Amino acid sequence: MSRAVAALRGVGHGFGSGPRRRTVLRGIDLDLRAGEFVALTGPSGSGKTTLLTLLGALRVPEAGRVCLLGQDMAGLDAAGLAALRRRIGFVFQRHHLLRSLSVLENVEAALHALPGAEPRRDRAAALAMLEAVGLGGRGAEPTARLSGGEQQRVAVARALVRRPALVLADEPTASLDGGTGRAVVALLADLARSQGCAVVMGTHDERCLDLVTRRLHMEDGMLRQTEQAA
Amino acid sequence: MRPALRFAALLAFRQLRHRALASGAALAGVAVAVMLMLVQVAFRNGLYDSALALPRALAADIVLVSPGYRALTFSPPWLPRAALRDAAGMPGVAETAALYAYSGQVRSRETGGNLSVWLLGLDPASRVLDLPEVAAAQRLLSVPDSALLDRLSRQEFRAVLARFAAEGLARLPLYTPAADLAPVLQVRGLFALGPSFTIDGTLLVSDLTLHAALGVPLDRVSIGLVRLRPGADAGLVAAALAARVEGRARVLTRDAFLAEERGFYARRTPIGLIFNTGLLVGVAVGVVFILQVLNGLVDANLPEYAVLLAQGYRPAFLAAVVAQAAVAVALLTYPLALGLALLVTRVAATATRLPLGLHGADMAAVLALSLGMAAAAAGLAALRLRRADPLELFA
Ligand SMILES: Nc1ncnc2c1ncn2[C@@H]1O[C@H](COP(=O)(O)OP(=O)(O)OP(=O)(O)O)[C@@H](O)[C@H]1O
Ligand SMILES: [Mg+2]
Repeated sequence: MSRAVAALRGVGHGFGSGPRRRTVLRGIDLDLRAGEFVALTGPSGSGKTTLLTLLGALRVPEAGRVCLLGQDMAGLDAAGLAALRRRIGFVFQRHHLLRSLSVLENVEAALHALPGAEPRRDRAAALAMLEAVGLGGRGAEPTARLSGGEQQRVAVARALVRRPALVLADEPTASLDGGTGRAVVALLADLARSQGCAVVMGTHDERCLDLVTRRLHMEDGMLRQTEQAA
Repeated sequence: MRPALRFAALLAFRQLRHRALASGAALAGVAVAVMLMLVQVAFRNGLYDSALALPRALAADIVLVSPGYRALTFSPPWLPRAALRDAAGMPGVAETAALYAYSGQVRSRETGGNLSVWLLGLDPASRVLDLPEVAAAQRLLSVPDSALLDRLSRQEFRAVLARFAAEGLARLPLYTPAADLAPVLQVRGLFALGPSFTIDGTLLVSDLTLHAALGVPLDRVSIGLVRLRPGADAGLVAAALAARVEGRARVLTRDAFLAEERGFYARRTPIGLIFNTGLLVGVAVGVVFILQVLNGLVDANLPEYAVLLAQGYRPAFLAAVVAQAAVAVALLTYPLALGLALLVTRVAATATRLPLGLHGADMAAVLALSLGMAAAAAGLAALRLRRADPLELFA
């Protein structure tokens, strides 16, 4: 059995109070293991993004326990959560690259925040990662000169260059056309497998589901079915 | 945290450059505000330097003034000449001299009106003022009623100067209430002292002419000058002298005297206040413009800052980016501000004849001030960083 990356027990979360109160997650139990690639599907508003932000240590649940990378989130302050996030990679719907930096500098930027950052070694790691996403030799270019698919591949490189234990992707293909989107997810799956990290991807994109190892379906804030992919 | 800080500097610089056009107007505003501060300092220097021109020209290592003396303005209170004679006998003292300073009026032949002048009296045989032309021309003053005119006197004296240039002599009737006795001064030479903001024109005459013209007693000295033998310690002699003339005169070394003169203009006149107010306005305007640059920077980059927070960068890192950007704004606009200030100062100096100028220390002080302005603006702009929220990056 591979290493546990995240464990959620009875997690509930909601927004607002009084008559405007809206419960978004209820009684979520979930175990994530290293090497898993999980697709999180479900209708709009079912709570996928909310669950991802909990897994990303970007918010703390109102109810239940979240244990991330061996740490109980309940005991962590802002600095502790930030430290936790340094071991997590994010890929967003839009690439959200830093416009004023080059492609290579964007990937390196993910490393400067890490403890023990070392410029020369970080540059080598960033170059290798760009090579791995098929953008070797384009490091010096401004990000604006890349196509949408290429930009999203830089975002994947940025998430994975820090060798995270967990990668969270929210609709990473939604801004791309079908073929390009699938290629990005395939790349993400490949790299995650070779690094042995867990990925959770919120998605509406049916075309990518064959690339994952597990599918979770959310409905009304609850994980309705858990099916193991072939 | 070293690589992270270096990254903060890189990011700040790149993000600033990315928006250079968008923030061009505000950057120009910063440069203009700093330029105004520099010009302000140059004007202050000019005012102080012109006010201190005569005190600086005194040929003295030690100066004796009346106990009630405040500054070398029109007619300072007098001290008894006997005090100066006492000084002459002290060990370490080489020689002494006296300066008489009185305000007066001369009749303008051109307008028929009166011009106020500063009448400085000295013994033509002794060294009183270290001004190049005075040394050569002061012997002319031994002829009764002779005078030297400051060629840098204000515009009103232009006609007198023209007459002197044409004829080698210009007659200047002194105005005294007992009009029939009024002597007529003969301008026989020129010297250069420069106008100050309180004085229109300066005339140099012999002590005897001054006595004859205004009836002032010559045992009442305005400033006593003491020159020391080589190797004598000014501080020690001044202390001994002070004990000797106790109650009759105040004794100051040259440096203490000049510092006191400067202090008078800084504290007892509105110059210091006006100058400081102007500087403060420059600081305020500068902070506003720097803040505008920084706020624009933060607003344009909020999603990028949110990404950095998601990656585990701390809010303090973002504050460092803003601080670095602020420092960059201050440093990059400064050379432009300095260049403009030097240009404006040169033009103004030609127009006003005031010795306007900037010293290295002034430039450094204003640079330090603009870095302070940058720090203040960065502090304010950092408040805006709270709006950077990683949750907004999600779909
Ligand atoms: N900050 C918030 N304040 C109030 N309500 C919120 C907030 N964030 C999310 N919600 C609500 O929580 C519910 C779940 O939102 P969430 O974004 O998790 O859904 P989702 O499954 O990701 O939807 P989509 O597929 O459209 O992205 C929605 O009804 C949403 O309106
Ligand atoms: Mg969503």
